Amino acid sequence: MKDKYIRAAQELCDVEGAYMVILNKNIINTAIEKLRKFLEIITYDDGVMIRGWYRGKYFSLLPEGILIVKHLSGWSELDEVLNNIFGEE
Amino acid sequence: MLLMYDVYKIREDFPILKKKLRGKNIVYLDNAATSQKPIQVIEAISRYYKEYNANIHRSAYLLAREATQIYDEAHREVARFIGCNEDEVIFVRNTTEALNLIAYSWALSNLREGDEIILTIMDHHSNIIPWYLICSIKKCVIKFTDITEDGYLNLSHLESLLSLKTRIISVPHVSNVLGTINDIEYIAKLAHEYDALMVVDGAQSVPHMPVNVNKLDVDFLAFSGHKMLGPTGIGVLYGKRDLLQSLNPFMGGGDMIKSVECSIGGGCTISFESPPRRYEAGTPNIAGAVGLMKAVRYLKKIGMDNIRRHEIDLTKYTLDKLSEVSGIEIYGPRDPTHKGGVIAFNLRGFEPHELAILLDQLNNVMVRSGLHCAQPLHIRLGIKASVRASFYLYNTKEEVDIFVETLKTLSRKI
Repeated sequence: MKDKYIRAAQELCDVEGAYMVILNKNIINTAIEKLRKFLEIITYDDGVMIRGWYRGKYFSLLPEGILIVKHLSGWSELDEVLNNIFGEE
Repeated sequence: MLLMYDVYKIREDFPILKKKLRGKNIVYLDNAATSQKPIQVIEAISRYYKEYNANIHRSAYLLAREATQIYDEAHREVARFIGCNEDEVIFVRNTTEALNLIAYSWALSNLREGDEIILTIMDHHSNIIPWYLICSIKKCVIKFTDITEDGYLNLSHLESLLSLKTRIISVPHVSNVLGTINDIEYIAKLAHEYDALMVVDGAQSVPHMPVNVNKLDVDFLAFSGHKMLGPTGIGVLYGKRDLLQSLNPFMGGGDMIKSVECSIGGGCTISFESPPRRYEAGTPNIAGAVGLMKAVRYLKKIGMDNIRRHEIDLTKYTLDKLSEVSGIEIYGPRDPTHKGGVIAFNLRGFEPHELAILLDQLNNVMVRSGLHCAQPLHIRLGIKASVRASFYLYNTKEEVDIFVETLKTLSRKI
């Protein structure tokens, strides 16, 4: 999974175990398709935001491939969570 | 309110404000985090390295003497800016280091078990953690002053916390979240009635309004260069001369000693330089000091009263406009004359980080989201986090319009 994103910030000023990554362009559409199945989708102008709770974590998939996941203990848990959603490749 | 300077002319001095992202202008509203830099400051730093670079207070050759003169002049310029003597200005890295310097130089030597330090629930972590660390060592007690429901410091509560055990009162001059301007002059009087030290975190005030340490009668004042048009890595600790002369240094090294005599096989006899050098161990951030001096001159040329007036005008305009946004909750005082150019808020239906990213993505509106290094305040307010817009001398009403219109667009989506 690690090759699918870059770490954008180690933490977002210690808010609720929030971790932010920038998804690689080639996975953004896949992420939208996967996440929209179980999260709320909000459209505006030429973009979409998909967000909500899933399995105890809060997800925000924002424009430009920004993905924030909250209530994590660290990067390794983020990897685990994303692997569960997108599957190991 | 009549502007005393041409904000559009000022903006010409800031190269980064001409930058375009996503084909649009940027709207930089994160000035409480750091300010942008005018070309005059950028060029002063560049010129220093091109024409004057040498180590200071050490070498006899002309270039080194010139560098020393510039560095010492920076102390004088900052001293004039805040109304003190040049030997009362210590250059440090930032506000955080300045506050740590007081904690480790004064408090570590002077506090005793059971002594009390009064802080506020609106403090930035940098005015909490150093005292917490010292209190852990010295077994002292920290007491936090509450705020009122409308975001002012509760002075009655502060007075009720005072006792003969109070040794320090340390407060922010301006809250970095609520924007509240605290009555430092009054609190300093209270502190001195109890023979306590008055320490002020001036990170959000010195860049934005006239601050005179003599008028306020504070014992220490800390602030950062990078929030006032200067470079990162340079900050200031003001301390009253008699206090600075009585303290042990925070760090040891070169340039802060008068003599070091050591015997082979045993002991050293060391005498320290007078302030400020006693507290500026090692090669300092000379270029940073040069940049800060230029920044101070830039601010003085515009006039701190004018900058304050501009920010009041902009804050009032923003608060009025924000009242038209449905689902918005604003924290802190609503009277723009009682607050700095800082507005913290939440918009119903959005997590703060989501909102900040969407503001950026839609219209390059740059705001801070999160706890703003003030978690106790957010807990007190009963919120998880917030979004913060903060202004400076170069922000315009047109930028506020873009900011508010973007919020309106988003609020309609929920």
